Amino acid sequence: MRMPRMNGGWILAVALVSVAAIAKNAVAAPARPATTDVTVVVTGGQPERPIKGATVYLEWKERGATKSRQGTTNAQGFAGPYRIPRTKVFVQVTTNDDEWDSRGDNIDLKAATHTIKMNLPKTR
Amino acid sequence: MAQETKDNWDKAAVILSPVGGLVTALAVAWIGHSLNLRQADETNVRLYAELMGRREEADTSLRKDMFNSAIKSFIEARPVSVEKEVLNLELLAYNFHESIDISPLFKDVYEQLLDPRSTIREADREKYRARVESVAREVIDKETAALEIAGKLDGDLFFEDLKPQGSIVIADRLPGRGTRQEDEDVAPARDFEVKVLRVNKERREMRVALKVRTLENSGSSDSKNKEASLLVSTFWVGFSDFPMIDNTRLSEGYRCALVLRDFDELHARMTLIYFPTSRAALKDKPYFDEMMDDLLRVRRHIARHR
Repeated sequence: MRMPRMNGGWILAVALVSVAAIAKNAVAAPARPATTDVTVVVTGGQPERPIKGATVYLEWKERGATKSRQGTTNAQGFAGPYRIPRTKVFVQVTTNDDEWDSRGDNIDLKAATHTIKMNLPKTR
Repeated sequence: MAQETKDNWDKAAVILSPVGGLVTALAVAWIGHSLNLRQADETNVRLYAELMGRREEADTSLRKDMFNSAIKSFIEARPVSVEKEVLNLELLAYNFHESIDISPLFKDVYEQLLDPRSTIREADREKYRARVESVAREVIDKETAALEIAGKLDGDLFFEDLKPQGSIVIADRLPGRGTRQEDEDVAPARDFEVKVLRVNKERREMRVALKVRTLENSGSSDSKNKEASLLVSTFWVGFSDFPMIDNTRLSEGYRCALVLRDFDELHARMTLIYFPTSRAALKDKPYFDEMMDDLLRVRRHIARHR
C-alpha cells in the first residue's frame, strides 16, 4: 500500500499553525509581575520604642493608576506584610495622638521581602 | 276706683324693662357676631392649613416621583448612558442633598468617568467631569453657607509645597479668639489643625489628618485649669463629601466638617466648618447623650436668664 505523499506546503502550514497556537497561549498567560512582601516597623524617639496603633499608608503606581494599602501597627510596632508590586512605593505613618509627628518616605522595592523602618520624631 | 300712685322705682321699671331687653338683645347679637368672627377665623386658619398640607403633599409626591425616577438609573441594570446618569445626579444633588447621602452616587459616576476602559470619548469625559464637579461645588457652597454658624477656617495648599510627612494647612481656634466664652450661646472653644498627608490628582482627593482639641473650662482665664481633650481622625476628602452628611461629631452637641472648595493642577483650597448638631442633615440623628447635653444646656440657659 502506498502512503499518500505530503508536499512541503502542507508541512509548513501545519508548523505555522502550531507556532501561532503556542504564541497565543503565551500571550494569554503573561508572566505575573514580581511582587514584594513589605513589612513596616514603626518606632518613636531615641532610644527607639515601638509604637502601637500607628496608621501605615502605602501608595504605588500600577498600570498608570494610583493604588494604596493601609494598616495599623501591632504592639511590637509591626504592620503587614503587604504583598505589593516590586516598584517604587510611598510609605507614610501617622499616629492618633499628639506625641509623635508623621513621617513619609519613598522606597524602591528590589527584593522579594522588604522591611521598612520608620522612626517617628516627637512633636514639638 | 282708686288710682295707685307710682313711685320712682315703678317709673324706672317702666323705662328699664325695655332697655334691659334691648341690652340683652344687643349682648346676644354681639356675642353671636364675635362667635361668627371667631368661627370664620378658625375656618380660614383650617382652610389655610389644609391648603398648605395639600401643597406639601403634592410637593412631597412630586419629589417622591422625581426621586424614584432619578434613582432608578443608578440601581437598575446598566448600561445607562453617562449623559443620563450625570443629569440624574444633578437632579438628585440639587433637590435632595440635605435629605440623603448622595456621595456614593457621585463616587460611582466619577469612577466611570475616570475609568480608562470606559467607552466615553475623551472630550465628553472632561465635559461630564466638569459638570459633576460643578454641581458638587454648588452643593458644598450652599451647605457651607448654611452651616458656618460657629465659624469656618480656610486653608490653601500648593502641591509643590507638600512634604512627605504632610503639610499643615489650617491651624486656628474657633470661635475666634475675641469671642467671650461666658455666653452660653457661643460654641465651645476648640483648636483645629488640618494636615494634608497625600494628594491624588487623578481623583482630585486629599488624604488629611484632622486634629481637634477641645479646651475644657474654656471660660476660665486661669490657664492651669484648662485641660484639653484631643480627637484625631484621618480620612480622604474630595468633591463628593458634603458637610451636612459627612462630618465629624464633637462633644457638647457640635460637629465639624472639612470640604474641598477648589482643586486645580497646582493648588487646592479647603474649608473647615464648625457648627451645632441641630444644623446637620435630616438623615443624621443626634445621639442620646447629645440630646441630653442640649436639654441640660437649655435648662442652664433658662435658669441663668430667669
